Amino acid sequence: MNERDGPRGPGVGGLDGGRLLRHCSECLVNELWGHEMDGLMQGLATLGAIVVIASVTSLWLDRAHSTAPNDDARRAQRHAAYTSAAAVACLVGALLATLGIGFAANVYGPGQLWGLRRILAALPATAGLMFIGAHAIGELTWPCPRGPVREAALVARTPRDVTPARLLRWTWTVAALTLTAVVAFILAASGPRTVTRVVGAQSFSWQPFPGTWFGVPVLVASTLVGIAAAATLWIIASRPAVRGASQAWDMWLRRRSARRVLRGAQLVGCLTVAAMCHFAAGALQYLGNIDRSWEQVPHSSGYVVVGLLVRGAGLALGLVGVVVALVPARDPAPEIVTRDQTVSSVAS
Amino acid sequence: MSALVRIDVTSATPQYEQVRAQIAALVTAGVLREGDRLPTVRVLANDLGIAPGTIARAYGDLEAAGLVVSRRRVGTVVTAQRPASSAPGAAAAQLAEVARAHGLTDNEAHDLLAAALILHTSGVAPAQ
Repeated sequence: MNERDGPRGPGVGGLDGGRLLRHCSECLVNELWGHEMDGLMQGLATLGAIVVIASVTSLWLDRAHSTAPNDDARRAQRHAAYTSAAAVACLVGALLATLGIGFAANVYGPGQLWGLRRILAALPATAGLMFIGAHAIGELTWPCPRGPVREAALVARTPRDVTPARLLRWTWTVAALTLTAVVAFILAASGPRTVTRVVGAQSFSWQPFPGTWFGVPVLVASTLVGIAAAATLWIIASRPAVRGASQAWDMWLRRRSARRVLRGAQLVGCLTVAAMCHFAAGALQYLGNIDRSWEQVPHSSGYVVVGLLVRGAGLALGLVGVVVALVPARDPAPEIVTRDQTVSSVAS
Repeated sequence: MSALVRIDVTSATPQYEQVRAQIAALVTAGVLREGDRLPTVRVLANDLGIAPGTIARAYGDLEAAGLVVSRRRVGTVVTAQRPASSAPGAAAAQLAEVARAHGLTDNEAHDLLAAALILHTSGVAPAQ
């Protein structure tokens, strides 16, 4: 069986021979390490700058849509805005770190960082967990009612009441697509991270392919994202109502928080499936000998076309996920009226 | 339009009793009707900033009085119907109207009614 690995780095694993060659190899590693440290520092600085820009943009957008009936509502809205900014910082930072680790994995080659690559598959979902975790912490630290006299509306609230229905349906769709993609790739794989093409008596394999090696961590992390999102929606529904604001305004603020959580959850789901499709498509196209560089493997249009379709589907899903995450919702704040104008009380 | 529950954390009346009395009054007044769902224990406790156990005790007392019933998955639902218009109801409404007209507080009106009930039970004529 012939087996080809994914792209290797600039010669770290291949220089294996005499003493001279070994000495040159050590020099090369030291030089690479120095360059990598410089690159790492620059990368961290860039990452920090992007995280700060993303957070400030999130806060600015939130302030642009800010309408609050009183000081308590303004405080609640500010709390929601800071929570969102922290969550966005977590998400952007973790996603960019994922990309950085991905590039590092390519530079050092599969022999060096196979374990890292396995974790890499679950990193988008881990970024989502951090995003949702930041939201959950923000909701758990929501301003509590203060003062000697407190009031509450006798209205039942459930997560379903605060969740935008269409976005919830789309998030379920993304969850189903993630499950389908993981199962399909595991079934198509010939090994934990390998896919094989049989030509006559010969078989040709390519890795990486999202088999069980990548699929199981993705499935576990995605399930955790789903559970965390559901728990956070429950916390949003049961958090204290904003004092002095109408129920409509309070529910609007809850819907806003719930929308942010679902947008993050669906985004990491879409990016996870897109990344899996990218790797699967690459493997299929190489097995189809797309660039005809593999002399002993005959060109296969079927493999190339299927790879192209898988890549296109992943790219489309990733783009839709980004658009759904970024396009503003058409849910304007209700007219500002105080609670006293909308409810009755039996208490004096 | 929805009903409110208001508590005074500095009041001598226990908080669970304040909640229980107000929900019972809302049911009696017909503001809460049969089948209406009440908020969950945690939601109402969070909204009022008090311990969930306090709300759970108030709901427990209401359930014991037959005003609400708690079921898993459904939550707490009002079961009692508004009593039909009656002479006691009309007299209570009149008492409330007179108490308001004379500037009595809720506690003073409650005390007045409690005193009348005690005197009636003991057979003593009220002092004029």
